Amino acid sequence: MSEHLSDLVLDEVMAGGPQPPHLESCDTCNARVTRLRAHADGVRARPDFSRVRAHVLSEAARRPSRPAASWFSGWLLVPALATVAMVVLLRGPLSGDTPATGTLPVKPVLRVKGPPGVELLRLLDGQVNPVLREGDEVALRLRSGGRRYALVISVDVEGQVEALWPSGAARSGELDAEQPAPLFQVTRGDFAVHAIYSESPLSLDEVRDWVPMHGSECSGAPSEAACQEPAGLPSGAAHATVSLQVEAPR
Amino acid sequence: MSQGLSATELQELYDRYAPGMYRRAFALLQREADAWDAVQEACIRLLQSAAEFRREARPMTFIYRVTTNVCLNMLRSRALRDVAPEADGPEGTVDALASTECRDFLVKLARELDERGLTVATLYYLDGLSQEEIAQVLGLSRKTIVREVQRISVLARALGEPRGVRGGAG
Repeated sequence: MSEHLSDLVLDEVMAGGPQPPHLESCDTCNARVTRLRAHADGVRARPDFSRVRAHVLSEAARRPSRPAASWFSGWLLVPALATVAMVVLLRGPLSGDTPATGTLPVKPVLRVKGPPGVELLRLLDGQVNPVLREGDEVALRLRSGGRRYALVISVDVEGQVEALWPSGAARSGELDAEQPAPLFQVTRGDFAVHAIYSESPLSLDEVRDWVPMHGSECSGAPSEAACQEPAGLPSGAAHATVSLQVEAPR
Repeated sequence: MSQGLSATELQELYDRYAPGMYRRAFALLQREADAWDAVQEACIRLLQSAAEFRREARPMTFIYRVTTNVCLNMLRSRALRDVAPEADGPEGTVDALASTECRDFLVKLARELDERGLTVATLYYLDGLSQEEIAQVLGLSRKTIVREVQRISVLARALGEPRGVRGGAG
C-alpha cells in the first residue's frame, strides 16, 4: 500500500471533505492536491464544462416532475406501521385533546387523541424532531385532529415551497389507514415543514401563497389559535409546523 | 425534478464533482469528447440514483463507481469500433505518461478479465486505491477485493505489467 493518500481521498478533500492529518505534513500529497486543484480549475474554465452542465440540467428538467422537497429522497415502504396508526387513529374530536407522546412504537389499538401536529421521527433512535444529520432516515408523523385531508410541504431558507405529502400531488390527500408511513432521507439544510389539515382538499398553489403570509403565525405549539384556526384558510382547517435543521453527515 | 435532486443541488454537485469525473474519464478514454460524454452520462446516472447517492457515507465512492462503470462501458463499446486515442489536450490529464501507460495496460487486461475484475483493476492501477478503498467504492467485502487483486496481479505479471503503472500520488 502506498504511504501517500489516494486520489479518492484527495478528491474528497477538494470537494470540501475533512483534511486528513497526513496532508499537513506530506509535501508529496500537498503537491498533488495543488496539481489536482489546478487541473480542476482548468476544467471548470472550459466551454465543455458549461455545455455539459447545461445539458445535464436540461435533462433533469425534462424528466417527469416529482415536486417533492429537496431533502426528500424517496418513499420507503412501511416499516413504521405505528406511524400509519397514528395518522389514522388521531382523527378524533378536537375538544379535550391532549398532546400525544412522541416515540415509536405506538400500539395501533391505542386511540391517541391530540391537537393537530407534525413531527419527524428519526428511525435510528426514535427521537422526535431532533437536529438531524445528512443521511438520517425520518418518518413523517401527522396528527390531523380529526380532519380528513392533509397537505404537507417543506420550505427551504430561500422560500422554495415543495410538496412532501402526498408525494407529487398538487392538492391535499385524504388520510387513509392503508397508507404507508412516509419515510424520508434528509439532506443538509434548514427547512420548515408545514402540515395544513382541512375538511376538504386544498390546492398546493393555495397553500404556497398562504405560507409566506401566515405560515410564521403558528409557532408549532398546537394549542395556539394561529395553529387551530389559521387566518386565511377555510373554516375548520388547522396548521402545524416544525423547523428542521440538517447538519453535515457524521 | 426526478429522484429527489433539485436543480440547485444538481448544479452544485456538478460543479463539485464534474472536474474529477472528467479527469478520470480522460485518463481512461484518452479522448476529450468521449470524456465529456462520460461525465454527462455519469451525471445522468447520479440524477437517476439520487436516493442511493444520498445514502453513501462517502459520496465520492459513488462518483468513482459510476464514472468507472460508464467509462469502461464506453471503452468496451469503443473497442468494437476501434477508435484511436487522440493527442492530449491542455487540460486532459494530470499524469499524462503514467495515465496513457496505465490505460493501455488496462485495455490489455480487459481482454482477459470479467466486468468486475476490470473495474477492480481500474481502481487499483489507474486510481491507485487501496484494497480497502476499492471495497468501499464497489460495496464489496475486503476479502473479495483481496482475492480479485491477487487474481489480477497474477494475470498482470503474465501480461508484462509495466513498472510503476499504479496511479495516484504514490
